[in-house]
Amino acid sequence: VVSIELDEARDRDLVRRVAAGDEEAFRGLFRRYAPNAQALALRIVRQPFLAEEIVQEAFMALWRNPSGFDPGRGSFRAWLLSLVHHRAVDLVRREESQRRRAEAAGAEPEPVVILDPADQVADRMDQAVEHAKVRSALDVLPQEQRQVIELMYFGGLSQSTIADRLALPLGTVKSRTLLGMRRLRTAMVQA
Amino acid sequence: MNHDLIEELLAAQALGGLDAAEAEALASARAEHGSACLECARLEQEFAEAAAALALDLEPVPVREGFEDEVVTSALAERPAGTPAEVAPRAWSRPVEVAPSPWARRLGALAAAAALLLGGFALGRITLDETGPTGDLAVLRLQGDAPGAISVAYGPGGGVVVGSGIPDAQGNGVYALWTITGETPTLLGCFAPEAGALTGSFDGAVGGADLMAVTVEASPCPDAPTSDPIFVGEIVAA
Repeated sequence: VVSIELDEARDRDLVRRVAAGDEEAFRGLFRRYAPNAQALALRIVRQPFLAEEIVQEAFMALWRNPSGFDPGRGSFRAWLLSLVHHRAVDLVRREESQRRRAEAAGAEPEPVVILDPADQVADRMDQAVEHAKVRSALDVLPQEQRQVIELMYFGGLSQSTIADRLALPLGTVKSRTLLGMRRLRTAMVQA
Repeated sequence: MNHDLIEELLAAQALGGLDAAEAEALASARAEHGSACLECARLEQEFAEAAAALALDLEPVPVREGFEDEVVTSALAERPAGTPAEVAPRAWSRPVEVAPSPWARRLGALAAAAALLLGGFALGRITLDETGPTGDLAVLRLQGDAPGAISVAYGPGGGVVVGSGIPDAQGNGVYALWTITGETPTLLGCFAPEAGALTGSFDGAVGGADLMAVTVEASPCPDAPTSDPIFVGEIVAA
């Protein structure tokens, strides 16, 4: 826990230096988080060049407006990854929208970026404490809750779309989401 | 307001799973519940951390050689090293009366087009009642041809705005929210989206105005709109 707090303090300091125009601080944050950001973007959009574009956009957003990160509202890591997640999901939804329009027009469907988002959660752990916490939290998630969470987070699907896709009542999807996120949240806070 | 509903929506929001209607429901629920609720803020933060943890569970993907330098070069092209960043406005400002401008004609056209598009009833039309001692909370879903969704929940003394799927404004731009009375815009505030989500609160009465509108403006927030509105909602007084 202490090491995580130190990491967060270091991140906050780097962001302050980025706001002052410190190139090395910017590079420091990039080196620390670009691999995680790229993994997330790639998982969602499935195309390396698009994932790279999304990562670049996220770091450019940091450089342009470092005050967009508010330390009072969470960690820098969560903020940056939410930027990446939003951009990736936005791209996936645009692709999905284009595909639907093409299908409605009777044209050959364009390739869809979304693939099976529930195929795997990472199998391997590295030495990071954070990673171990996440893995243990994910391991205790019931399969049906994990499936819904993965479809939403990695597949970019809304709750109503997931309900349609899994032929479940919307209320069931909502309750699985909430229960799963409560478990994750508790695990992350307590670990 | 049921606090459980807010928690349920916050959990889905953290995963990017809210559609426009659900985002609106969250805005309304939080406004009614109290936008300064510390428990809600704590839940929002913890759910965001939990969602980020999902990403951290993925095996990191090493960046290609040269990618870091490309990103840094692009960044320095916009703002050279040693140049402090401009601080984007975060807080909402109090209403400031500003002069009318020709963009009001565009606003009318957009409103009319949206009315046709939505069958003449939508345009985020609501009924506003500010006659009671506390006033009723009203929710206005703005309509337009820009990406994303913006809803405003407000009462007699102020309100909150929530948006989803909102792209970053070009450059160091911000989104400005206005009320329109006749052809006179009044600034409610400016804000910058974070990760496509837009949240903020403002002071000041909305009642008596005809419309709400959103424009994209250069930072800092201007006193008068300098661009065409991208979202509009009609306020219908009770």
